Amino acid sequence: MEIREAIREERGMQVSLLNYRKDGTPHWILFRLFPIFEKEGGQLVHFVAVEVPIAGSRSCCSQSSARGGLMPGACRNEVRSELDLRCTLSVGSNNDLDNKVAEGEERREAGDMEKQKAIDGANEILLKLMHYSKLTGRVVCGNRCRPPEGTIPLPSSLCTSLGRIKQSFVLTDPNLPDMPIVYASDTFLSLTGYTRNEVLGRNCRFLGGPQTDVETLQLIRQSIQAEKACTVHILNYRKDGTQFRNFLHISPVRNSSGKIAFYVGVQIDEAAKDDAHGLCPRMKLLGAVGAVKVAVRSLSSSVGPSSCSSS
Amino acid sequence: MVSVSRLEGDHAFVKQSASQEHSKGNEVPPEGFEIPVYVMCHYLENSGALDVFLCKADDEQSLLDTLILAQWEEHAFRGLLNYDVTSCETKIVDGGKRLTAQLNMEWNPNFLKEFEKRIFKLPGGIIKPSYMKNNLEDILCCVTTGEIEKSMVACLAAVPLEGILIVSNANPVEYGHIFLVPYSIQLRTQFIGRTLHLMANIAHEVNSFSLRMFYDYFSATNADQKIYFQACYFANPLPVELLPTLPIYDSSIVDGLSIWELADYYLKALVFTSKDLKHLAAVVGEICFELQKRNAVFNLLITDYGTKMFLFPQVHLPATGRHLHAWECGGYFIYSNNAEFERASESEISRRLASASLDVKGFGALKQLCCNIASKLC
Repeated sequence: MEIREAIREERGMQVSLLNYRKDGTPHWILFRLFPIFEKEGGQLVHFVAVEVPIAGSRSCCSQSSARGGLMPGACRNEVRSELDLRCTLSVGSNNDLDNKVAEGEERREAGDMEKQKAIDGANEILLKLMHYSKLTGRVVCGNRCRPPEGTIPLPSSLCTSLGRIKQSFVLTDPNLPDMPIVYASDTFLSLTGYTRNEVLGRNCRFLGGPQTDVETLQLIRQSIQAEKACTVHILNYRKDGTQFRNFLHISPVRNSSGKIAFYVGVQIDEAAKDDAHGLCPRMKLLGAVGAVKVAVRSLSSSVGPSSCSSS
Repeated sequence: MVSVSRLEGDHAFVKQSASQEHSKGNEVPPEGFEIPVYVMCHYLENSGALDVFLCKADDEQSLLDTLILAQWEEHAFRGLLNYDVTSCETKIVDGGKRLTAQLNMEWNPNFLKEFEKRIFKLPGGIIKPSYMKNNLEDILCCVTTGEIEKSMVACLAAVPLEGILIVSNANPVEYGHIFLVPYSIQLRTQFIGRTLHLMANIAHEVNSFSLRMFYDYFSATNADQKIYFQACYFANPLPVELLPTLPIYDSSIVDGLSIWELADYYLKALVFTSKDLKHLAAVVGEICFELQKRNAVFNLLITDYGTKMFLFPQVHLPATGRHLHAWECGGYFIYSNNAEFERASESEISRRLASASLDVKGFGALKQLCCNIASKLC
């Protein structure tokens, strides 16, 4: 439970745990968890868990310190951007030692030595990850860096839920100046040809161009001002300058405190061939809107204004 | 059951059997009206273990999920709901159980009675023939089964011979609050076991971790065999889903079914889990049937894509007559005014839950009943 909470809140923690081996024998470990963030953008990339066996009170610790070297078990060489990637690295597994003392039923608390070992292990892994990440170009670090232009990255649990929605959509934050995009789906990026870094933090108006209908833009602006949803057909431009007819639905999305946290814009390229699922384009738009609304209501990821009013 | 044939063009057509054309009478919706019908592929009806299909967490939004959410959102967009439930504040109440409170000043606590009055014919509890004609706007879609390889959506001018009507609830407790009402033109009674299996299949087809289904059986006020479920989308698990459980029955090697009891909760409850939805529904259905025969009050909560069912037995509360709804059993409470919402505490909620809970002896007897039925149907 404690671990789950820490993961949700994207912070580090440390706890003594009773674990069981495959053969059913119990063993106490000191479990140290810490997050790794992307240096640029501050997105969470990894959780690293370090496990140090806790020697029982009856055992002498000299043996375990003799084997003080770290043995990262399953370190991944490539640092991937997926949020869910969890990398468990076990440190110094002293199986023989532990078996002898495992019968003791008292709760074991980690001594200073184990704690130091966990910290050492954690630092070593962090250094390795930082080293590898430099090779792949996505630099990571142990502390969250300040993201660009004051935008706060969305909680990872929300990103995970949003990631399941495969349609083209963006979330914009009306509580920030000029309503910048704070989330863009992969389909949106492939539809428009931009990369994520090129769209995050910008207002959606870059999709418009010389032939975009001004009245339609006005209609969108009015709906947003009235905090209402609207559906429009609008001419938009990709990064390469080509046009596409965009069937667009925009709707306010409220968080668990009932305040408007985002506006969602869902897009369908009207020229795209329809897959024969039997759903009309409008249903596809609204289905995605519904899924976004459900995800943003999450209590654990209280996004947007919670106590302050959303004027 | 409908038969489906794909004709030329973009849309699939569903042929209705000829006999229904005559028997429909006033159940025919007005001309020009089309209802989206989700035809569930037939294998689900007969299949046993669903292991192969259950590793779906990373999948994209399912067709049925999109259909229900789209129809609900359209409904909300057109102003057909009494209020926007997403503008209601929710919070976690202080205390270890993470009980949840919602401030909803417009909620109508009598919505169930009013819904039942609108849709069911008394006595008997079947859908009024005129319901569909008079309440077309409330019907979001219909789910039925068909002999097809892959589930699909078709727009029809009439509902199929039998299926589940999915009706919007204008007094939602969370986003996407719907009624799921089984109906059959031929069958005049619905059985909880069969309905439960259909519900589990629907939960499986929706394939959303957020979907939770509810069934309330308030025998004292509900002498007729009105069988319908409700469902809602909750972004977070209900508090009860996070509680530790103790195993009381395990035949997971034989038929995949396990029964647990909730440890350390104010309302005594049982949890049934199995990946074999048909068997799970059969066991829980049989237990419900037995409880209905004994005129007991109980609720069901279905989570985890239909693979987990919570059974909340309640004592009769003749004094107040106010039994708990399934989401309340799950630890989610609605407050109609600000002062009560601010005051909401774990001790206050725990008293409400505990006052509905069976005593140790009664719960022991229920556990025995459940284990007997589970081993009988094994």
